Amino acid sequence: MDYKYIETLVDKYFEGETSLQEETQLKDYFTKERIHPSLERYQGLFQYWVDESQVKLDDAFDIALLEKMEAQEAADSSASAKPKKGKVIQLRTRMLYRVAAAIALVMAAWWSYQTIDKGAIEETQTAIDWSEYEPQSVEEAERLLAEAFSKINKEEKKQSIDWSKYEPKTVEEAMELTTKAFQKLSTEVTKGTSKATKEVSKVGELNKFFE
Amino acid sequence: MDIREYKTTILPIKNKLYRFTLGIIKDTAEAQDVVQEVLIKVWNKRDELDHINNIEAWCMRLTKNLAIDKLRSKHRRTEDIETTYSLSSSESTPFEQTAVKDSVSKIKNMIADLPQKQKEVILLRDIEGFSYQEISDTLNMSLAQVKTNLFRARQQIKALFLKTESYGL
Repeated sequence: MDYKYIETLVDKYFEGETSLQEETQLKDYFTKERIHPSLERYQGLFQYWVDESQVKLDDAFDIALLEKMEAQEAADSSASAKPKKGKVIQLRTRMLYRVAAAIALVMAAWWSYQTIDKGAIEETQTAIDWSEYEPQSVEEAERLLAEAFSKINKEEKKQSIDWSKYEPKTVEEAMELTTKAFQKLSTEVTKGTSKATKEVSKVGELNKFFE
Repeated sequence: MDIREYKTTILPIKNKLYRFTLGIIKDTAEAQDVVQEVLIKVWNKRDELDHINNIEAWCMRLTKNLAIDKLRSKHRRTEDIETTYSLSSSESTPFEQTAVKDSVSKIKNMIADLPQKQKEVILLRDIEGFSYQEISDTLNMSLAQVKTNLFRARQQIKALFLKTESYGL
């Protein structure tokens, strides 16, 4: 292509007066043809435009994008499957879950304690001969029973607490105390869960040594 | 719009979006993040796409806004973009400037130094080959503004070329 014509086009280009077709001619000249020395300085610029227009994203981008979209879709569909509730109700539900978890934990602890305790009693029963402690007559049995009841009564009196002074006076106070109690319970349960998780992970690490 | 339609109509725009983003923020990883975010947003709004006249232009605008946001937050974390560029050009000697006059990095810096609107216009025109009307639709600019910005951008590049040339002589 005549370099004089290209020089004119370059001037037009910098004036912002070239058409798209003329700009294509310029790009073709600077990337495909032997460049006249007077025009060499502009080669880099037009080469840059052509190179940049060929920059593309690879297939890995598509794969990552579609995976992310699928993951988001799955998350959205599972979220929409649940009934939509107000924020307050959701919080309340969360609180209920926490309380339920706390109760389950307490029950589990109580059950395990009972099991251990029973086992201990059974062991003791086999070791002690209870027959020597049995009352020999009805009168003796009645006396022992009366003594036992009086002891229980005394202990109850000792341990009796005046709960009335802790009773909330108003509904608001009662609500506040209950909320605080639940919050405290929830915090403790959360602590317990995280501790349990740590312990499980430690056990996992220990397993490595036995493998 | 289902996933098949999305793959045939929206996904092919990705390279234009990517190149446009690269022209604004330069970092390839960040540019990919921006494009991914845009394409996911488009997918999330697929039910509203029927109301949009020019989806490509709309995607480009979305991309531009996100890229500029990203650029701003990046420079808030580091330093001002203009300071960076003015420092880099003032630190290089005339000899060094001459040595790299035709290098890609020099041209990249020239384009990066352009004011934002001029940069957007020249990228769409000289890389994507957009018509004035397409640039006008994409950037929400009048045709006169498109022409003015393109003229100024090219004039500035020409001035920088001549400046570099004079250092070499």
